[in-house]
Amino acid sequence: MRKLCDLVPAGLSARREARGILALCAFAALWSLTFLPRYFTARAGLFFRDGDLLLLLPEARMPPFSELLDGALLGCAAAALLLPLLAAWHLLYHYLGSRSIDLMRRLPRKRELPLRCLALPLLGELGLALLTLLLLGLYYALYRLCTPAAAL
Amino acid sequence: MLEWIQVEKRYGAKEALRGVSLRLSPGEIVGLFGENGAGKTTLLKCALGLVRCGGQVLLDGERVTGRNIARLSFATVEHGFFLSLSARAHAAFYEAQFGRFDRERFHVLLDFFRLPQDAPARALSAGQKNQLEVILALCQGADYILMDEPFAGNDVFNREDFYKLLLGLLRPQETVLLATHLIEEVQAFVGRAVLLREGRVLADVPAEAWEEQGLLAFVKEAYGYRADRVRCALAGSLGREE
Repeated sequence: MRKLCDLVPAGLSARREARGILALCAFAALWSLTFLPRYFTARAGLFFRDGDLLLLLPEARMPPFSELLDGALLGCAAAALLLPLLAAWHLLYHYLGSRSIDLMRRLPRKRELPLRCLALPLLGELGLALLTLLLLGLYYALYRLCTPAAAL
Repeated sequence: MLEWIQVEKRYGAKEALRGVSLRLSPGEIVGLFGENGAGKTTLLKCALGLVRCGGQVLLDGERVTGRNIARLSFATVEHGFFLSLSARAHAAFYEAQFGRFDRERFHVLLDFFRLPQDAPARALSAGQKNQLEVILALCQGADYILMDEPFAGNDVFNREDFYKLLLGLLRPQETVLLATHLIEEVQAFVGRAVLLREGRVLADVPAEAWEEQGLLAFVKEAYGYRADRVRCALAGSLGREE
């Protein structure tokens, strides 16, 4: 089993990069919360107040889920677009100030260079994909479960 | 045995190597000489697979691949180490990657050069960086050690002592190919000289060939160096002024 520090170019901090990726994921998750005010505003529009009672408007229809989702997952998309830049930085790092690229290219394990350049960005992409699916699932469940069936 | 067989390399219109054939036998210390652009660096990089070239490079009859490349090490003036890693961390990296890293030799050389173990390579002086580069190449555990101007920037005392130390350190089967312009300094150190000119082997001779006249004079003669070319150039220049 490889250690985390063996998944980035030698000399770079894997912990710092992993923290950066987690921060990106957190940003993406926070950005997705913009779905909630959109959803609850739309949901509130389904009802009218009659004294203390909230009654469903006749013919009321909830907007489609995709419409409410709007740009809620844009944070995930932006983060996913940033991760290839991290891979490019990993490669560029081997050319800065020295030619460590030559050392990496003459290692017996030929996959060492691509592995160290791509591992964390790919893990980040995988994490983001899972996060996107999780958020999508959560918000869809909220949409289905909290919206009156008659308005769906 | 490390062999270059009819190796060719072209950079655009420029032919860097034109059918170079060369053999290094175990235990040899060979000097590789030639003017700038003669093809010395390209020849070394072809052996390591760092540049694509025509012809063949064979190590004991087999192409150089991931299976046997650990038997070749490389020290270059461009430096192959990581600037943010210390000497100690480099040792750990080499140990993990090459398997045959010689820790004992590493510490001997580190002590000899008085290199700090824990300072990142970027904090070292230009001379110290060269030393680290050479130390790593010598300690990798390779049978063939290829060096490309490894001592550029080092003071003359350091270089001289280093040659002596190297002669004492090398095991009988270890082979060194040293590309350098410091011809006079290495003449007592190398047992064979290979001269490149415009991508071709101009001469490949044992030490006996330059015993009488010295290596520098031999190289100048082989190159057809004209000692009066500066005087002629100056005379021409003065003539124009007049």
